[in-house]
Amino acid sequence: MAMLKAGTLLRTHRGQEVRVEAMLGEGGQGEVYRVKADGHTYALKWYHQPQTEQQKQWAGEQREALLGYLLKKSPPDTRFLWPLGLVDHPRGVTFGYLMELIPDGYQGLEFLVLGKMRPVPSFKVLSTAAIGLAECFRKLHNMGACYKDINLGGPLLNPATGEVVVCDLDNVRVNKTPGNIIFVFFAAPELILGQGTCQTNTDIHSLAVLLFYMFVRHHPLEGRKELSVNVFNEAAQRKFYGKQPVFIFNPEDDSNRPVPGFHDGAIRNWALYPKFLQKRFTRAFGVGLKRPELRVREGEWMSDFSRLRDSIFYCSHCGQENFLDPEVPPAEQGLCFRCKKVSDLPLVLDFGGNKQVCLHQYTQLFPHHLGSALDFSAPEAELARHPNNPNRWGLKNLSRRRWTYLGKEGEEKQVDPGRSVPLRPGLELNFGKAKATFRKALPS
Amino acid sequence: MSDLDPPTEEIDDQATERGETLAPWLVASAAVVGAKHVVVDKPSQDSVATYADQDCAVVAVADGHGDPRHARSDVGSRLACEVALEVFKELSQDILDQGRHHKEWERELRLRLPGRISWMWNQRVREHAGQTEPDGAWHPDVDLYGTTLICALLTRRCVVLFQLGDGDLVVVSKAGVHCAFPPSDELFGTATWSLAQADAPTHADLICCHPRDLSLLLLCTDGIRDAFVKKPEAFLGVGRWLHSRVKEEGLSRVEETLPEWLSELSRRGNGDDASIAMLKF
Repeated sequence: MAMLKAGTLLRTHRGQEVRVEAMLGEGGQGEVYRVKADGHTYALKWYHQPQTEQQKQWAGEQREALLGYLLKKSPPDTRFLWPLGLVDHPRGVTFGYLMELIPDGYQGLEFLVLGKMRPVPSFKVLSTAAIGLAECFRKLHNMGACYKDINLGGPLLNPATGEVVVCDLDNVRVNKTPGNIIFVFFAAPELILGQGTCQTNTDIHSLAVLLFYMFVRHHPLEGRKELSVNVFNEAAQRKFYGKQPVFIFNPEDDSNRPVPGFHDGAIRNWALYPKFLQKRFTRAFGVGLKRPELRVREGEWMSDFSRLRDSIFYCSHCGQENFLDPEVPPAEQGLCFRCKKVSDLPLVLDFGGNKQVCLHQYTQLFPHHLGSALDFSAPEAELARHPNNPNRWGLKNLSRRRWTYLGKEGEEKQVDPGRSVPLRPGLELNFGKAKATFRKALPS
Repeated sequence: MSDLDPPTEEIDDQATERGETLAPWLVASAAVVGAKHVVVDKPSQDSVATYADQDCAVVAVADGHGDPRHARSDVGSRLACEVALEVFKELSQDILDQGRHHKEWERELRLRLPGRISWMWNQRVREHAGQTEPDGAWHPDVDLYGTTLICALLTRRCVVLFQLGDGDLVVVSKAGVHCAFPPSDELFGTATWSLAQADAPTHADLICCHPRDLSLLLLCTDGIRDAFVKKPEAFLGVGRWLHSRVKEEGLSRVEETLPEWLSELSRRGNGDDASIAMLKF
């Protein structure tokens, strides 16, 4: 039952009047209301009234963190729904804080993991979301803070676009703050064992679990061993996730493999992804479990999921997104995981090293493809149909710079902004800060 | 407040100052063979199960699909109720031992409990089918045992409500009478999700709430709602009606009259089996 009634008047610590309109939801720590202040609609997180001495102590610490730290800081990114004002109960029995409302169209990641997110997000959307989340947490960590309990409840995803927002920022603290663990299965092993404090390195373990959940729809440590323990028992959980964690796809330890029939989703989904991403997760939940300094950093995830986005191609039979994986033997390339037919493989734009972009009707190139830092703000190129022959495609220059390439006779040709270059295997494009060659996905 | 909503003062509020709802809580159940099954001497495909002690109460109903493809669905529904009791009784101890908020439990149980129940049910069913030491993976044999499952667990500070497939979990609370899980908009007609599906866990719904505001839970197989097919909005009135009867006559007296009432409903409806389990706070 709602703690606050519609129409209740409250005040922020700065004296701003807040009128309660309706309850929006309930969580483990409190209730969330839609409220109005100065003509603007906000969300108010209102903490449960503490019942025990321990809860009262926690509430005091929480209030102090809001007043003494969070409300003095600016959010490191606009995607954080940062606390905007402290609101006390008139009789002091509890308190809350104001934040912006969650924008329309966003859903919690729990819906994704349970298979109930609609529309079902594409891999491109998920990759975009993963990059956004890693970037958000990198910015938070760069200001010397940690989120403390990254889990499925904080981030929200727009399944149509891949845009993300992050809420529940009230647990954010300066690095090396002791922390109580809410969801053991997201916590870094050293925290579970009581051997560390909350900091960037513990957050990035939780981030890796979150990303694994997003893409594999499963927990990275829940395999065969899960069936022999009561996963709802606290002591068993601490042993399972803290003392003896084993990654379900650890190539050197098969004692905790997913069990067919119980972990089918994990088995099926893991196999979809290119080897480079599997290796990254293997590091995160292999050596990364015991050596926090070797955990996967936010920037590495950003690069990986950008690369994953670039690896997407569409099955020529059923249109399903698949991933081009250069590490897979040629004979196994192109097998669509949905219709099980061998798809035509796309033309790629090869930048050298392991950087290549699959070319399809939705392909766009961003500044980071053309030699700048990771940046999805505005495309610098996109695939476009020839204006007189819709069956011919070219790469259109959306940037302000001129590109060049060598024509069939060896002469330099120019691609001015707004013009397109034909997709011809072997053609090398010079973007200025980067060069790339059109080629077939597989050598002929 | 609609006319379906019981006035707040009708609700027994047993919550203590610490926000806990204490025993005794009462459970009751009834199941009748549907009118059309009586005619052909076919056993009920429904099952019900209840349990209560000082720490927890568990109620479950399951509706075996009943058609030739699911020829052992009476066994399937019985095993589903047995699994529900076993899983929830064990879970109650973990809930009691940990001072976690019910919404934290909800987030965790949604991820894990449906898979556990499905695994255990598959295992029991495969044992019944004669397989030697089967695990809980899906197997074509389980299709014969297809059933739904609705179950609820009550502890002092947390109520867990679970549903997989059709039927209704009716909640009578201070806020009124409502179904915990609206019918799926992905299914039409008599189609239902089933424990016998390979992807059964993905079709389960689960919520947790505090017992403080609740008064009565009714777990009904779809044979009850079907009796109201001409006036579906009246179905929730069953919750209000049974709630006031329980208040006036006591749960055990109401339980005695349930079989006759269910049989009448079955005759008025489509002749399906009808089962109900009740949990009074």
